[in-house]
Amino acid sequence: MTTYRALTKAFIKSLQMSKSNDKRTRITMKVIVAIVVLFIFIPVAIFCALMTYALVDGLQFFHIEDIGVAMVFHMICLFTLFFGFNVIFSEFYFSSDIEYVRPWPIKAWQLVAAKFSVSYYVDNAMQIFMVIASLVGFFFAAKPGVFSYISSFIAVLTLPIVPLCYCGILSMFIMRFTKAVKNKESVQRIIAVVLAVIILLFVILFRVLAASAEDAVHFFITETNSPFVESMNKLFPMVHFISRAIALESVPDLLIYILINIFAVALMLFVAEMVYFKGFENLVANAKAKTRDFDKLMELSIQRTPFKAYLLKEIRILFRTPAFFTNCVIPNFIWPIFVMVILKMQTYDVSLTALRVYNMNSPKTVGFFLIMGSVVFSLIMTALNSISSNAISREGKHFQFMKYIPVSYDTQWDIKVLVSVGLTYFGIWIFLIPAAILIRVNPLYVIVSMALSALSVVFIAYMGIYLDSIQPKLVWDDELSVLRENTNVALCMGIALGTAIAIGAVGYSFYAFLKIRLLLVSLALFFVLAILNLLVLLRTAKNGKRHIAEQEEM
Amino acid sequence: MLEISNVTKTFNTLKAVDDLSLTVNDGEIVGFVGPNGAGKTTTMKMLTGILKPDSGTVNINGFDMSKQPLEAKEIIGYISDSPDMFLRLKGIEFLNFIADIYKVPTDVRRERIEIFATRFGLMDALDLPMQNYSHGMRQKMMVAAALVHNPPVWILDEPLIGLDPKSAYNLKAMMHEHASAGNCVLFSTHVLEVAEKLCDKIVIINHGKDIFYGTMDELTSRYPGKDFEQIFLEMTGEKVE
Repeated sequence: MTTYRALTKAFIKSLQMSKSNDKRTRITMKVIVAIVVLFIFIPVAIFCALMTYALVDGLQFFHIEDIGVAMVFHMICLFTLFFGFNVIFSEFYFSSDIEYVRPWPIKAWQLVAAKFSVSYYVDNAMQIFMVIASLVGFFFAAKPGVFSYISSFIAVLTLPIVPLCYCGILSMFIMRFTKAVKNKESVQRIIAVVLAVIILLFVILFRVLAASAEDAVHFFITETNSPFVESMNKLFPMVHFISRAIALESVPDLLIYILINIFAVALMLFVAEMVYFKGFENLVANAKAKTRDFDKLMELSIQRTPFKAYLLKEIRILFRTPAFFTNCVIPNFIWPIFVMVILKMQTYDVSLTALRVYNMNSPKTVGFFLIMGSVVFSLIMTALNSISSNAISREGKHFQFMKYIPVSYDTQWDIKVLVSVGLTYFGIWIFLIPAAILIRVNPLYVIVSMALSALSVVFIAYMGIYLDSIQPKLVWDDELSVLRENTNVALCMGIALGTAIAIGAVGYSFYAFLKIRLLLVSLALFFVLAILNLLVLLRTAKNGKRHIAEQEEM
Repeated sequence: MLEISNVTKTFNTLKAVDDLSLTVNDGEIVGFVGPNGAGKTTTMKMLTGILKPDSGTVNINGFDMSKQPLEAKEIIGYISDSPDMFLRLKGIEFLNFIADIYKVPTDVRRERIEIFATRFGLMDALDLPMQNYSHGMRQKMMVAAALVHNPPVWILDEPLIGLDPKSAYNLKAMMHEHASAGNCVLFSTHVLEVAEKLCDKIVIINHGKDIFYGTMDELTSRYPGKDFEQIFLEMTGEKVE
C-alpha cells in the first residue's frame, strides 16, 4: 500500500498546473475561472438537477422514483465510459513515466492501481459535479431520509469506478491480445474507431426511437419498469443497487453496491497482474517504416521562408499527433453529421426540397438563421477545437524552442492563430457554401455570413492563444493531457459560449421582436465583432509577447 | 565572440546565477564545468535568449540580446539539454525546418545535411519519425540541426551525452575545426577529461558564481601536484569519501 500511495501521489503531482508568480496573472486567471464556472459548470449542474427533479417527481406517482435516479446515473456512467477510455489508455500505456517506473521492483497491480487512481482523479471533476447536481435534484423532489444522504455521499465518490474499471480491463486486453497494435498511433486509432462505433450506435438508437414517439416514451419510462434502465442495468449492475439504496433507503442494496465496486477493482487488478506488463511489451515503436533513399530526400530539401516552414511544422504536428488530430482537426469536419442527427431527432424535415421551399417562402428568415447561426457556430467551433487555446501549451517541453530561434514572437503567434483560423473557417464553410448554393440562399446573405464568421473565428482564435499565453500548461506527460488537463481550453470555451449566447439573444431580439432590418442587424453585429477583435488584438499586442518572453517554466 | 557581463538570475528566492561575467573570444573553445545546479544551463539559456537576466548584459558578436535578439539568435547554434524535440517530424523534415528558420539556401543545406548524415551515421534514419530514434540518435539529430546553418557561435549544453564514440569523436573534431576557423564554442560538460583535453579555457562555476576562468595551465599551476579532478572537487567544496 505504501508503494501504491507513493506512486499515486507522484503521478497526481505531475498533473497539476503550476501557479504563476505574477499577481496580475493570478487575478486574471481567477476572473476567467469565474466566467467559466458561470457559463459552463453552473448551467450543466442546473440541467442535471432539473432533469433528475423532473424524472423523480414524475415517477413518484408510480412509486418507481429509483428508476429516475438510475436513469441519470446510467447516463453519467456512459459519459464516464466514453471519456474514461481515452484517459485510461493514456495513463496506462502512453505516459512517459512508465518507462522510468518499470525497472523498479513494483508489481503490475500496484502500478495499475496508482494509474487508475490518477485516471479517476483526472476524469472526475465534471462527473462528480454532475452527480452532486443530480442528487440535489433528487433531494428536492423526493425529500428523503438521512440514510439517503449517506448513500448519496458514497455514490458521489464511487459512481465512476466501475465504468473506469471497464475501460481499464478492456484496454489491457486490447494491448495484450491484439497483434495489430504495434505503436501508440494504432492504439489511438482503435480508440477513435471504438468511439465512432459507440456514437453511431447511439445515432441509430435515437433514429429508431424518433420514428415513433410512443415507442420512445415506452423505451425510457413505463409504469412497471424501463427497458432502457433494464438494458443499462446489465452494463452497469451497480447503478440498480445504489439508486435503490438512495431512493428506498435500503441497507442491503448499499452493501451490494459497495461489494460490486470492490469486485470490479479487484478484477481489474487481477487482470493487471496477469496481462499488464505483457501488454506493455507489445507497445514497441514501429521502426519498420519504408524509407526513401538519400538522393530523393535531398531533391525534396528546398528552401522555404521561415513563415512557411513554421506554418508547415504546426500543421504537421496537429495532423500527426493522434490526440491533436482527433480532438482539434476532426471536429472541424464532422460537425454536419451531428447537426443532421439533432435535426432528425427533432423530427425536422431537412430534405433539400423542403429547405428550398422554406427559403423561397421566407428568404429573410433563412438569411437571418444563416448569419446568426454562422456567427454563433464560428465562435463555438473555434473554441471547441481548441487549436488556439492550447497553441502555446502544445509546445510542452520544447517551449524554449520558441524563444531561441530567430523568428519574432509576433510571427510565431500569428502563425499559430492562422492555423486555428484557417482550419476552423475552412471546416465551417466547406459545408455551408455548398449547402447555401443547393438551398439557393441569397448570395448577399452568404457573403455577409462569411465576413461575420471570419470576424468571429479570428476573435476567439486570438482570445484562445492569449488565454493560453497567460499560464500555458507546458508540463505534460502525453499529448491528451494538453487538452484534458488544460484549464485554458475550458476558459476559452466559457468565453466563446458567453459571447455566442449574448450575440444570439440580442440578435434574435432585434430581428424577431424589434423587427429591425436584417442588414442593419448584420451591420450592428459587424461593429460589435470588430470592436471585440480590436480589444483582443490590443490586449494581445500589449501583453501576449510579454507573456511568452516572461514564461520561464520549461 | 560572446560576452556576458555581471549577469544575475533569480528563481523565486534562489539565486541561480550571481553576478557572472564571462567572455569567449573568437578562436576559443571554452568548457563550462560545475556541479549539478551550479547555474550552467541557466547561464546558457540566458546566452541564447531563452531566459531574461534580472540584471547584466549578454552580447553575441556585438549584438545585445535584449536589444537585437533576432540578430543575436541568428548567429547562435544551440544544443539544449533535452533532445526530445518535435518527435512527430521525420529527421529530414526537422533538419529542413531548422534550415528554413535560419534561411539556409537549398544548395548549402543539401551539402551540410550530407556532411552531418555521413559523420553521424544518420543516412538511414533521415526518413523516419524521430520518435522512433534512440536517445543517441536524437542527440545526433539535435547536433546536426543546431549546426546546419553554420553559426559562428556554438553554445552546446552537454552535447556529448548519448553519443556513440565515433560521433563524439567527430563532434569534438568539428569543435576544433570550428574554433580554428576563427569562431567560438562554449560547451558544458560533466566529463572533466573532455574539458581538460578539448578546451582552450575552462570556466568553473558553483552556486551561480564563477570560481575560476582561465587556461588549464593557469589552473594547475595554482594547485601543484594535483590533477584536474582533485582540483575541481576541492574548488567546489565536494568532499570525497
